[in-house]
Amino acid sequence: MTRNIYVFGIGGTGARVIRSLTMLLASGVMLPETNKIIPVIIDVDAKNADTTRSLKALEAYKLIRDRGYGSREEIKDGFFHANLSTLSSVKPLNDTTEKVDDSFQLQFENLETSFIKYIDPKEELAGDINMDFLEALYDNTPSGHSNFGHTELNLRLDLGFKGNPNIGCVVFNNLASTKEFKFVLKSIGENDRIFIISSIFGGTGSSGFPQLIRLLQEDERIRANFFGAVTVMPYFNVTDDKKSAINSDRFNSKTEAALTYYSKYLKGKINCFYQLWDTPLKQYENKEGGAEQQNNAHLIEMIGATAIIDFANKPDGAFKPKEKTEYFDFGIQHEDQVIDTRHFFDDTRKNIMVPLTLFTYAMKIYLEKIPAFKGEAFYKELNLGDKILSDPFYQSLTAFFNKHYKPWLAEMTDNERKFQPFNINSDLNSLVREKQIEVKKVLGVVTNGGITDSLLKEKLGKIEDELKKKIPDNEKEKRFLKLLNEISLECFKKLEDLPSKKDW
Amino acid sequence: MFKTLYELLAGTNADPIYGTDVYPAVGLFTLLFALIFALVFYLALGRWKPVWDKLIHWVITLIVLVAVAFYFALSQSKGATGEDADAFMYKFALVNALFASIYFIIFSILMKRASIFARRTPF
Repeated sequence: MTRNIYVFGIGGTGARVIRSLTMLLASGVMLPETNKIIPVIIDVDAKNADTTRSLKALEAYKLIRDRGYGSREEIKDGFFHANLSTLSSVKPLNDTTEKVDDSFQLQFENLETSFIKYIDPKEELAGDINMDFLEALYDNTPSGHSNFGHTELNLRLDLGFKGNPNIGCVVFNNLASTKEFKFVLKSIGENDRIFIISSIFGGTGSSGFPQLIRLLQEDERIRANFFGAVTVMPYFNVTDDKKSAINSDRFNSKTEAALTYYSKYLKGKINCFYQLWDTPLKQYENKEGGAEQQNNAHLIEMIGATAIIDFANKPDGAFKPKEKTEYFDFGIQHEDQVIDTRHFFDDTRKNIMVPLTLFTYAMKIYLEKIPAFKGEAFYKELNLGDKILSDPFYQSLTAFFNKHYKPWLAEMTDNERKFQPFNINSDLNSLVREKQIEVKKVLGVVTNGGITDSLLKEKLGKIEDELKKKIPDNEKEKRFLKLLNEISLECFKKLEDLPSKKDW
Repeated sequence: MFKTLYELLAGTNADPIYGTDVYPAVGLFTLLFALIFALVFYLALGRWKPVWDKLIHWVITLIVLVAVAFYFALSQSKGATGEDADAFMYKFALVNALFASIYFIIFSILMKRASIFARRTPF
């Protein structure tokens, strides 16, 4: 029985994990029993660069998927096969007239103000006992003080909660009144699963996560659905900046406080709880939010995305009741500062790293090889000469590889701990780190050049010839995606297998 | 059939051996040469590897076929008549080369769909 998976990504970390999920799904990671994946990014920081970047990747994915496969749901393998949909594509169960924006983001209303004005828009509480109570609960440095703008009651909410979950939980309470959230509640079917991504050491994620669980489970109809969550504990620090409201010295204490709260109030509400952490090695620049907050992709976020895949693919019978929440960690085989394919256990290598390797071959072939094969029959048959620069499908595919997938890999390589499974700037024979495809020579003459241009031309021609028999000319985009998938499989045959622990 | 085709462009020759021996043999073999060249170009090489499938390769193949057809017609004429090459023989050889190229173009149109790498050659 197929089902939809609702994936809520809260805050900057939520958006970054969804960005990683988009890359995994683009690579063709299998979701055999899933009909639609519906990512919903919830971030009050409307201009957050991490969120913007994730949304752009999702939109590019959606366009490629729509043009490649249409709205068909029976596609179960290959690049971009997963049906990543916006909320608006789901038909509510009991109200067919209601509509929401065609967006992957859930928007809050009335946040273009300070926290105190959000609570008291008409300034009716001045002198009231409730104001005294608020001032007792929240920092309210008087105006005129140099730190006035960063104090809790005066924080602007449209820039995020800047590490203040005590503000976030108040704002998240109003989530239930948004049109989109009401639509979500009406859309979730009885077999659908719900997954929530959050960080525990910031403001938005740590406050939004328990609130979201509570709001969703207020609807009795949804309460019995399978719930999963990944919470990301500190895995980076930020530089000291006295002017900033964010201070990484408080990350651990906030984590501890949030975990204590979760253990008490989330008991019996989640089936699968994935928890991730890493020793913070990297110090990011201290940016409070907005367009300046663009953290490099990190291995932890990709592992967070694998938790969603694991949750989505679990058979119904494998879930334990919510009262017996299962907790999951992610381990690697060998402690190291630079992680590659060899460090993962077999399941991750097979289910995640093989598709990523195929997709990386496809990226290199699409960006670097195919444009040079203009004279080949497959290029002409697919009208690539006319389309590759002007057709929206190919423009989106180019953008996805150039602006999303390649930078995502490069950022993880630059981060700490480094994740470098591929040498993305090397040739195809050296693409997979620690597994060179050997070029064989006899008396100085190459007898097996590995992945060469002539091999690619031959295979591309033959694959296209076969695909043409199965996929008609009016579905050339689908044929092209299949072509990329199959040529990358041919490259993988040359590689034979990914490097593993035995290759150390 | 071949007699009619050749006489249409090269004119008639008083020597009857052209009509009885030269035209049928040259016509048939030229047709076979064109067929073999097209089979090798489109099916043998054109389905094996992308090594001889571009327009330039097709043009070279055509030129070789034209040369073969020209030489074959000339040598057959000289052999059948027992005479040295004369103006008619050259004219006949040229016409045969022209027919060879026409056969090759027709076979190309028919066979290119069955090819993998030369599917879009020459157009």
